[in-house]
Amino acid sequence: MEPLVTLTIDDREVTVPAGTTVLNAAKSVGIEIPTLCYYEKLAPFGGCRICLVEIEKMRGLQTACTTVVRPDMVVRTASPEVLKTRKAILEFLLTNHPLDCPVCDKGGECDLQDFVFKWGPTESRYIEEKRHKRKAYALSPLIVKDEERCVLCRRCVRYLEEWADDLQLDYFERGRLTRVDTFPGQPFDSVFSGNTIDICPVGALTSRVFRFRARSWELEKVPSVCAYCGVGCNITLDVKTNKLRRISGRENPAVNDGWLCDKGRFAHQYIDSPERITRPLVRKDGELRPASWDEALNLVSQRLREIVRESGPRSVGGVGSATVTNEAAYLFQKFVRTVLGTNNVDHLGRLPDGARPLPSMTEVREADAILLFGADTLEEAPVIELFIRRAANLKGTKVIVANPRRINLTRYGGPWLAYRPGTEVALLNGLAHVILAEGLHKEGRRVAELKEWVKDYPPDKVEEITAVPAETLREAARVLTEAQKAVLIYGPDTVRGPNGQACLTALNNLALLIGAHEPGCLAQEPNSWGVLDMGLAPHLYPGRQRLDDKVRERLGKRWKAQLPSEAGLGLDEMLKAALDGELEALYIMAANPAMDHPIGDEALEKLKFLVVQDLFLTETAQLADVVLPAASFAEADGTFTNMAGRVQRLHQALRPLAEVKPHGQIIVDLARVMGQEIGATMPLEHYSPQAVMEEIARVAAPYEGLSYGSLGDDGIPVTTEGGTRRFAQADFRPPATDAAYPLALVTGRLLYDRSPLFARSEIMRQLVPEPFVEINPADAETLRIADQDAVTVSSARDSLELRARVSDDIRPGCVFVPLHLNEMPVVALSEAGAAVTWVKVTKR
Amino acid sequence: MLSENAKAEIEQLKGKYPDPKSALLPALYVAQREHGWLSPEVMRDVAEVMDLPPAEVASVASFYTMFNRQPVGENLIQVCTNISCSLLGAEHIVEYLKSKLGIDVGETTPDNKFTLVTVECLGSCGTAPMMQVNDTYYENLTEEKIDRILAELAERKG
Repeated sequence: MEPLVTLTIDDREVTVPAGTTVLNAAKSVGIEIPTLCYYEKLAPFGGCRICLVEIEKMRGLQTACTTVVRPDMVVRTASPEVLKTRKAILEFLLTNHPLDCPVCDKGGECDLQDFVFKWGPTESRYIEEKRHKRKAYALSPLIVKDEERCVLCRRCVRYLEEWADDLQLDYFERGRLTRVDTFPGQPFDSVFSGNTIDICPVGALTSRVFRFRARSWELEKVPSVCAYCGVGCNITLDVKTNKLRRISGRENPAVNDGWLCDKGRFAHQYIDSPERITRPLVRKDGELRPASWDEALNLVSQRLREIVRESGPRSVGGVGSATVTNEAAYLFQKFVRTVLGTNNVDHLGRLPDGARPLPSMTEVREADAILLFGADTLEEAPVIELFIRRAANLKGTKVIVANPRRINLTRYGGPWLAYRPGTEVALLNGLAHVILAEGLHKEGRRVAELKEWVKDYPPDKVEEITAVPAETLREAARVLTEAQKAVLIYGPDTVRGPNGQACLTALNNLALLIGAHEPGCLAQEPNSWGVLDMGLAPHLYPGRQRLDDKVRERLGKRWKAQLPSEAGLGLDEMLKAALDGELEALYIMAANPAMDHPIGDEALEKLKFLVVQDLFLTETAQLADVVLPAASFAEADGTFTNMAGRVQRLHQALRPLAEVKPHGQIIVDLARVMGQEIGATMPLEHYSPQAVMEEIARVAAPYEGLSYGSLGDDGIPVTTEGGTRRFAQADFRPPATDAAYPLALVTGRLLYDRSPLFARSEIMRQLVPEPFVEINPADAETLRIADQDAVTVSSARDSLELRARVSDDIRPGCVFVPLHLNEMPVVALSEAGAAVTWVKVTKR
Repeated sequence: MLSENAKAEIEQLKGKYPDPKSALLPALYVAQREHGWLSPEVMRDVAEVMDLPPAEVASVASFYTMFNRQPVGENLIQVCTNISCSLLGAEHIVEYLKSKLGIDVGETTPDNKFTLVTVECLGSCGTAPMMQVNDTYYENLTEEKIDRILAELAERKG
């Protein structure tokens, strides 16, 4: 505990911890001192002088933002001299600042405007011509700069320095010519650029997406949660006349701390896309034609019933997605289990059993070493990347990167373990081996067994298997064990596939050895954890309860239904069964298996009946017999559970367009047409997410006691049982190779891609790169491939035509192809369930 | 753009300071000496060798007027127009140079031999009026002296 200091501010006695600034001491008792350059999440700068205060026994006025309190200090924040100086500074700023407030997007939420309103001169004495600088030019497709409005507080530059650690903006020239700008000819293309708009105290940096779309005081502010990735950033939806005008960051220290990535901030224009499906569509004479809800739901009801009657409930199934709310996911699995009568229910991108959530964001931010295994936070969870960069930049947090690709975080010198795909388990066993051999593990662990299990993985041998140099492996082990607070994070693909469970075991062993928190999964979807908690999986009931007789009986009673006892099929199995003609009908909610599953399109084409509910006519919806128009995240109430297991509330901000309905509503309506009320506690006429959450809180143990009331604006973390942590054997099986296809395929998401929502967000979509395959210069030379050559990437299953990007960002022997950039699904190259996909690259 | 020699020289400069970042100003001089001016490409190269963000390098370069951010001729003529030189006819010197060279202040002759600029005090008030051409001071200037200097410089091989 810091010692306390007592001082006097405006005749009031104030006691604060030593080291507090005068500014914050004043703020703690509600005394307002204006600031422009000061921003609470940046180091004090003392550049704008607007916070000058009078301090007895100090000569001249002092900047409150940089002056630290001393015992018995006597501070005056509103003496005649302070007020006169404040007014003079404001008057001086206004001599140059243009008074174009009527056309300034910041108007109404501008610090300078507010300060002048409170303290400023009421008239202008300045009669000269104002200084002229460049107005309204694009710093990037997303950000507009107005040099005349800039007050040179340096907040944007300091933020890029201290947080993004990517100094794309800086001061140029000097004196009255000083301006903030980018390097000549370079766009401001950081994926964290939009935060500078939020922190700009004036209208110098504004959004091109929001530009002239509303006055700030007209906006209704609705708290919500970003629906793009698993971080679950808290956002505010700014709405006017039932249109989403703007998204900005919302303060929640336990999650995003007010920051956002540019995707979450700007990529929302899909909501107003003319391509939205606004009416139900029914296939007639081979074409999807508009139909009424009655007609569509009756047809779905009739066809599903027929197929269940003729071929049994095993012949139908439901596929959801981790992009929908807990409430919708809960209703969906309940619908499949009680109305269709089958456990054939799953979702795309399901996390494997045994994967665990990330420890809280606070633990990630406070870590002094982070192992990032097979994940790229910049592309998959940008705000976590922002936190890690800040920690590495300011605190020297070590970032160990295990990835065949040189991701941005390797720049902190971590070390970088560029392993061959398929050798993850050997690499992790090797780390355990080094730690044990060098006696670096935490005391008190019973390591004898583990020692035996990893004895065959000495560094030299691991180098042979993984291609990670023995010395790099040793260094990584040392960095991990020297840390006081190490955090292990892995990508979901690392723990999927045939080696997934072994990989998970090896990660757990490593965490136990070094005394770290359980390794956490960087879940990619906004509700990856939630949909599992809701039982959107063939083998799990809500609350992740296994399908045993006792639970079935109890749930059956509550749901007033006879629940199927037969085990259900997962997504892979359902699609295989569809190919074999055993599965005849699928109901798909907000998922696009035609693009995202290796056999998706061929399997769906075989179905007798396909229903899809979604926002757009995706590749999957185009194959459907009935398409039902669904609401976006901003058009419905609900909750998401983020990658750290925090349940957070989304508030409906917009009335859905035309005949669009929320996902949950569609399920309830369909169930009713099919003669069942699936929400026993729900009112009959309309879908109430709140009532669904109350039901969830009764049947899903981790959510017990949760309600919309208790969630508040910040959400509540829920924990699912992880079981006892103990060492276990992780067997490494060398991946099968194929001489005809010598290169290992590495895939991954890019932040800006052609996925359905992003690709329909007007301004942002111009930032999506052309499809490419990244290939190491060594391999490119052997294959006589030059940068930008047109090439074919083929596997034993399929092929893709792409442009080559020759770069040593990918290790030799591998190629990297981003997902969701092409018209063709990249996953089609892979055999479902193969550990490594082998490909060859040929010049076209 | 930046030669290997220049890169090696900058690497060496970095070693001279407790914080290698401090070598930025001398590094920019090395680059300017080689190219005559600091083009964006050259500044990028400097940034890479210095391991600094390009924006920071360009920011520093733009703060100091002695770094040229436009191409200049073989001979950069900087005429002092500060108080002492002005009192002793600097304006006339500038006018004379303009008419001799046929260019305005801030311009370069078509043969790329001369660039004319005016600058603040160069610390040579005792010998005003004066000008600096590249690294050389020419003092107590008169029209005749300027004729001679320009003739000499024009003959010199670039």
